[in-house]
Amino acid sequence: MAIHLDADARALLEQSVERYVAANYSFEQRRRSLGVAPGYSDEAWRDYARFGWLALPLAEAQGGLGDDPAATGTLASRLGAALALEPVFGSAILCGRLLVRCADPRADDALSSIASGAQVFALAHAESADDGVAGSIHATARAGRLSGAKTLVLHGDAADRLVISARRAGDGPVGLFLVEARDPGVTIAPYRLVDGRGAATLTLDAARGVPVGPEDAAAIIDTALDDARLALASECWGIVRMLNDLTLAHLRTRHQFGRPLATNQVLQHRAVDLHIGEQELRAVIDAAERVFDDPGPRRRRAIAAAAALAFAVGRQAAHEAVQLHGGMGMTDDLPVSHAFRRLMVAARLLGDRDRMLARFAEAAEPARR
Amino acid sequence: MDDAFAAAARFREEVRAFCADALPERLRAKVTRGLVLEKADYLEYLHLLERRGWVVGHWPREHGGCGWSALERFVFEEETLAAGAPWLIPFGVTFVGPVIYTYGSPAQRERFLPPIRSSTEWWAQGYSEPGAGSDLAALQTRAVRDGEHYVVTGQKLWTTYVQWADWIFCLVRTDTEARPQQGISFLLIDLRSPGITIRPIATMDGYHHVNEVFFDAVRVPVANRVGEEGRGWTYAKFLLANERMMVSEAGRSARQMRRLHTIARQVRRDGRPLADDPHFARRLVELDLKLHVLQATCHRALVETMRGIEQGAAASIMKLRGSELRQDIAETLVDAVGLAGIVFDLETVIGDGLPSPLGHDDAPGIVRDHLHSRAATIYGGSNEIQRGIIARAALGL
Repeated sequence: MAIHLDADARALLEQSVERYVAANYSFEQRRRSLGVAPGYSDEAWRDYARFGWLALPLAEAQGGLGDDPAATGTLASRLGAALALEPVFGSAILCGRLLVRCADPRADDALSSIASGAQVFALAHAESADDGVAGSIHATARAGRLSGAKTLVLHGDAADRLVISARRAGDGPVGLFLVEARDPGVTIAPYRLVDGRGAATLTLDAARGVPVGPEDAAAIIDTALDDARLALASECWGIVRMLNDLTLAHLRTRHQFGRPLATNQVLQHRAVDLHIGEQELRAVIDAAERVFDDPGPRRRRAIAAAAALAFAVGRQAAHEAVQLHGGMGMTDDLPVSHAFRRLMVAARLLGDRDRMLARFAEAAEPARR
Repeated sequence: MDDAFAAAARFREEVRAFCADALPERLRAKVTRGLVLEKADYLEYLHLLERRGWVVGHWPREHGGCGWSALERFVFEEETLAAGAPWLIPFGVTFVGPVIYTYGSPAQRERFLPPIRSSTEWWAQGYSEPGAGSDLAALQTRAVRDGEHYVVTGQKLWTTYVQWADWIFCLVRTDTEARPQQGISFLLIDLRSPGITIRPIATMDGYHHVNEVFFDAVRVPVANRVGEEGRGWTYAKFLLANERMMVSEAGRSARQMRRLHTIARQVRRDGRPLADDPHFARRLVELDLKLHVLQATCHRALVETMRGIEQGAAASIMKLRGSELRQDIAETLVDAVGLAGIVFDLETVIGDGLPSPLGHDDAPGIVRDHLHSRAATIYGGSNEIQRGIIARAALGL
């Protein structure tokens, strides 16, 4: 039986994240972590763990509410609005959802570590820069030893443990394995994403892997990636709302030609279009959250719709925020350009808009098939 | 007229041959890959042009130029950018030079034009201010007359490459009583003058292109005022019209489209070249069409200019469409390189660059160009301002 947050509990969660961010995660505080290893604030990370936020996407057994996508979505949107750098999405949401869906006691200690924040987890799945998470898997697992290469592992530069997909016995089904990042068989080549977060390319040479989940994990991976995409759409919504608020405030306060920019009807209409996008995105995310437990294509379709819209609305909000802030929008000194870059990443990390449209089309309503 | 076209066609071949023969491969590669260019890179190119007499080719012959027609000038821009030559930094050559030979005194021409032609003095543009962006006439930097000097106090913003410049031309307010446009004068200021402070501004791509320039009671000889006091706005409009002619950047977009087509054939999606994906192929064709339309629009405006037909809004149309197309292509390039399009570190685009850790050599420059291109619809009179100009000039609204 799924536990769902009621409206009051959700509002409470919203408030507590917002209050924390306002007091402890200002733009200036965030900037101090950018570009300094591990690329995020350890202090904030410990706070998130202490508040139980890292457990939210997990199952009840780990103290989570993972069957309630609104809880995860609330967390993702509020931390997204702060452009939080900590690996909440990569570790608690992406790896957390994947391991929850494995429903395997061998993942229990990993899930405890995710919930307590004691370890940072990173998903190593994609192998090709061109196809990303939709590409085929060539990494192999033979007798518990993993070999191959993984690309764009989010927080792979800072992770303690890795969740790695690999083909069993060389050409069998794709399974999942837990690997220590410090295993001598793992070589990590770190780099930075355009939004400042860390990532890495991994080379695996007979790395020791503990299998988790079923023999063939393809369906689980697909489902968990969709869980994460829905959270990513929420993150986009949070960033979009933050950007639109900034843009509107700028239009209200910036005077040119002797009056506030906001009195200009053309600019009013552009602000309206931004607002409509934000509202539509909220509606599409809500719709996807309602069918989160649906076993059929409805869920897949609704999540693809939310992600596709999130990437388009995010792009529009980012473009317009920069444009309407003028030169200031281009600087590194305002959140606007940082949000622009974060949205660039969100719209490509787990498949781009074209992929989401394709998934949306494939999972057509049963009546239309 | 037909002679002019025949001459321009011959000139196009000349410029192409020059780019093919004279442009060093390293420089071409830096530009094509979207890497950051240093002052030395620009200087290398300027010296190549100088040997050919082309640094100020569009200037009249009596001021040391080649007297190019508008069409020849466009051809030069188009062909050099398409071939991967650096941007011809316009502040001296295109902006202040023509203002000085058109409105300046003989002494100013003699003093300032030769070092622009030889690239020995670099210029920056002091126009925008914190409170005067789109509404440039709201500028507040004051110039108060004190004998044979003006005393200049204020702040300029978004000053591109002032860190490399020797001089800055500024719009300053010499009369606070007059209508905003009428109290403005055009001053040439030596950047070594006491009282000038330059502060860099970091932009989205992490690089230092623009600056804040502070003037604290900077003494500027009255002899360095161009034209009449209070007529600076007229000279500024003359200059901005030149700026807008430049920014269609059709040649650059042509180069970027070639690159996009090449990458779309190299990159694979779902086991086939990206260019064979019907959806992506459609996007490519739409961009090709926009480029074709931009080229035709520029050509038509140039032809009409040469026939003496007044071009009310044409420059604004070219600026609008050119900057929008530049951004569209830049973003599509990011989409084309997949996950490599979200990996970026400034170190990968300086010097001779580094390949993307995800295996696309060009990806870092593609990401940088995308970030940087967002400014194209803001600078040189934002696209909102351009639409306002078209509403007034073309539609009488």
